[in-house]
Amino acid sequence: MPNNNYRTAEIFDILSKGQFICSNAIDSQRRHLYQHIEENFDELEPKFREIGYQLENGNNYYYFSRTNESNQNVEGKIEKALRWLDILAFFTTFRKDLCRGARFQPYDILKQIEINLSLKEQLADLQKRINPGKNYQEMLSDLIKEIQKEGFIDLENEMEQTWKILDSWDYMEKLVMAVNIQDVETLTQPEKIN
Amino acid sequence: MAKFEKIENLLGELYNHRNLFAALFDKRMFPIQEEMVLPLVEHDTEKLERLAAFDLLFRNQSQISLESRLQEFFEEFLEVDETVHVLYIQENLNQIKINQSYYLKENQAIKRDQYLIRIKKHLRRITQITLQNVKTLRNNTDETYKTETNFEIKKEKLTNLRSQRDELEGVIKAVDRLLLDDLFFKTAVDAELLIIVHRLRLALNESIHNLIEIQQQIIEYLNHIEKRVQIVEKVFRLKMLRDKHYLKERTNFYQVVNSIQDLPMRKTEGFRTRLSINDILNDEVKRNMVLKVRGKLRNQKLIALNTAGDIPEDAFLSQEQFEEVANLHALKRIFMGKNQDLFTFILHHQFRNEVSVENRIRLFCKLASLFETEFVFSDETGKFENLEYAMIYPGVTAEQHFTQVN
Repeated sequence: MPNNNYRTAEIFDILSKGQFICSNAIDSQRRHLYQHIEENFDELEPKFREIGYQLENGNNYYYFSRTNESNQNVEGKIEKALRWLDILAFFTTFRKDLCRGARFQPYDILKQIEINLSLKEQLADLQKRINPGKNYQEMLSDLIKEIQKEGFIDLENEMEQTWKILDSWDYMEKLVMAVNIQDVETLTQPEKIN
Repeated sequence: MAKFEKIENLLGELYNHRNLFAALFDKRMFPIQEEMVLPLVEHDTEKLERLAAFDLLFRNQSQISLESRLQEFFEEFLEVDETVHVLYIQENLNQIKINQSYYLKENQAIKRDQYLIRIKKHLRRITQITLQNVKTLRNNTDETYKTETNFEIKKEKLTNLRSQRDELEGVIKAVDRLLLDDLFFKTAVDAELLIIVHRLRLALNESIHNLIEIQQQIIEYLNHIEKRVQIVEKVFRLKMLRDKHYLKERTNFYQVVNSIQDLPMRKTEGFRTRLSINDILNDEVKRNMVLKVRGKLRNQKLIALNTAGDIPEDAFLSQEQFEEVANLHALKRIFMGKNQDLFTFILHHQFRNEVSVENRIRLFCKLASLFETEFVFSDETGKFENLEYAMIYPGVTAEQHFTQVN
């Protein structure tokens, strides 16, 4: 089936760039791809595994993982994860119930920034390294574009500037939830003994 | 406070100002300025005053709204009520019990009938209210979850909805028990009551089923919120630890991230692929592309970038080597004017630079082979050291030479 092969190539093209394919993507082509993977997972998975890519089934999204890895990437990964934590914290500070499927407008965030100092500082921290000397509106729009590029959100309505949080957002949350925090009590106990 | 004498008057008043009431009802969620509705009463503020006097409107300073009884009346009839009235059912239930007790004690048939009519009325009310309440509760649940943006309020609202649901279920069960257990309803006195009771029981049954589903929905929503709360807390705690540089110390963040093998976590790696040479050669489109790229390159600054650097010093040191080359044609011309044989001529010719005997012999050979047709080769040979050479003369003078010799 030539059509399917074409799709396999397209899927590989997207996933191999570290992107997600989400069930609630704005782009209908992407949604079709999601459906296609969902329907043909058993067929696609071994195909990709053969060339060294593991097709991973997230919660309503797909992505690739790869087991053979050189250690030089570790630093990059940690940097990225830290940045995601910052981004997640920023958006959670803006609205606590922001999760997959939610919509937001940059205008609302800007309004919040005016009255929420923590939000303001977080945004400044997020963007100061990349482009200093911009105003908050520009910083925010750069940040939004950045996470759009990462595939976590997409523009739903250009006129109203409504952005939709895609299913892949769950990936960041899962990452956070996977981390264990050592309890302060267990940490302070040995100090007491000492 | 003015009062309507007849129901016709009330209805007439409502009808006369139906546009005004409709507008006020549409905007019941917000306070309305009096000026905004003035066009609806022909700018006659007295009319508003009159309506307020009859308690159909409520005026507060310059704001105006529907009287609450009227609003509830509209809401209930249009089935757009947004509040769940558990107590209404309870109230009707109580009334039923009271009237039932009167009915059982009363001996006069006419009065008994009156009590029975009331009981029927309240039973019908319960049917209506119950169904309406269940519908409202369901809408409220979904709406709260989907539209309430304030996280804390959302949670609280859902918890309230849950207790409302529980209360509603309690009342419905109480009504159901009454209908089931009480002999009065089991052995209904007339067919109408029988039908009403039957309808009510159907309604109650349906409501209970709906309530069970609503409960599951609410629990799911609350669980979801609970999960969100956990995520939110985790995000904030981790962020706090990060900002205080405790992340490495107190969490396994780095280890977790380290062990992740997922592509989204990594820097994207590009694939290097080569163009297929076959394609470039055979595909018209690709060939044109190559030409296009070539054309672009010409226009770009690349050419400027292509200029070489400074000429190195050692390039100025001459490493030239000269090779002495005799002008064979010039030699031939001179030779043609001489009355000598070629070998003797070459051997004794004064060159600008010193030419070795060996090179002279080479020149002799070159000239002899080059101008073979113009020279005259005689049969005689001469000797020079250990070489034997042919005697060659310039062509024109060859005969003279022969005559001279002879």
